Amino acid sequence: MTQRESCEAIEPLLAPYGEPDAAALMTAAERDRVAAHFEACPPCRQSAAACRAARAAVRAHAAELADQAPPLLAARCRAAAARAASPRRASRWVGWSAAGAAAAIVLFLFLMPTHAVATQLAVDHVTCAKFPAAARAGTPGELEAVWRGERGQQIRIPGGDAGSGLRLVGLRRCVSTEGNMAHVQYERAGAPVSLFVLGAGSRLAGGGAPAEVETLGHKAILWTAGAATYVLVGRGDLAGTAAWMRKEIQE
Amino acid sequence: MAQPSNFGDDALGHLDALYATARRLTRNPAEAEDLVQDTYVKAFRHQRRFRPGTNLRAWLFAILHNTFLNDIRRRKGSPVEAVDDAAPGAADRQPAPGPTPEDALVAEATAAEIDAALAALPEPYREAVWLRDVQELSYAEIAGVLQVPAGTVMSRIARGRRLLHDRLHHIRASAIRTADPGVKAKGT
Repeated sequence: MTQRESCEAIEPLLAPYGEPDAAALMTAAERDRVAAHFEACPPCRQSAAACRAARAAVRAHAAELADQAPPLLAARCRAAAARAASPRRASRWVGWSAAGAAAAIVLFLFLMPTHAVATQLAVDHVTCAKFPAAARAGTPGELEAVWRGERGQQIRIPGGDAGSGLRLVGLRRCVSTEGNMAHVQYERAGAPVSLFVLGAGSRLAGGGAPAEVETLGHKAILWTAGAATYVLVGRGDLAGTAAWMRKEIQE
Repeated sequence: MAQPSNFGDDALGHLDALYATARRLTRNPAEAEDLVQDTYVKAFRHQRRFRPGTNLRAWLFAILHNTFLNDIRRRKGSPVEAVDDAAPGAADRQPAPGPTPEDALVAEATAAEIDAALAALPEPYREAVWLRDVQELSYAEIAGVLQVPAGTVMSRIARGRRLLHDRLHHIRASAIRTADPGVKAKGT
């Protein structure tokens, strides 16, 4: 009669043994070793049953357990991709802490690729659209004066009209850059549309020519004019609206 | 040979899996985001070390794992759960509950209960079970990620599942008692 193997020697095999495709994961000899051990060791047999039950429970809920990454994280990691091409930069981009906010502004404007900018602003667009009352209302001229007075920046805010189909809702400071980006809110056919104005010196990858991006179920059209970069975000076709805005801003 | 031009898209295609894993390692959403971002910074910087044709997901998990360990080592006073893979503890030597009816209780566990039970596992077991049973990495891939022998991975998974089973059984029995104080769950 052969001597029984120790529980410690058998233990590793209990992992694949408790899986539905154990036959593919283990050799026949290994399965025979486990079966022979179980004959003389009820505790290990019970342990194998417990392993099998635990794995089945986890597998049954695996999809629910696998969290989806927050939308902003994708933008941050795309920014990391751009940054990794520049070996002189620090290893951690920015942790979105208050201390890192100033650095975030600079990196946001100069390093984030077009898609990452669009993704982050789509998130801001959706978030701010839930709180339209927080926007400061006024005529385009009044809002431009408010921004100039509070932030020291001259920006151009197109007003809405019947031709464009836009109604100017108001102006707010964009939280994602600690208030340094203007967020102009509009309404078009009952749906929110946002125009973000990034401050002086901002430049997008690709030279600033108009670019259209689809992200998070929204469209974003980005372009640079003068010393500022503009990003129009909303659902549906925005090409006509963006063309109208570019014309308004240039005039 | 030049690196594939779509390395970035391929790598970012595993964002959800990396984030979910980081959540289990750090137990903190904000720290998980930072960990994933650091992982991508390293992955993009060292993408030439990735061998096309091998498993990109496992390669990213390995970077995530190492970055997490380095973060722990850098933090003074952070508790590190030590596990002796060679010598099962006293609790490990106790016979596990029988396959029935306790397993029926375990089978009824909700995702939230499983999440809580996983979170309660000691770290080495938690990560091994997570990579195998949720992320479906092979035993060899997990050994590569954790940089331990495959036998050690198998032992950790076996012990981790057994601990998970016991924990789930306890959680379910408590839930039943809470829902109906007159019921005494079997095996408790």
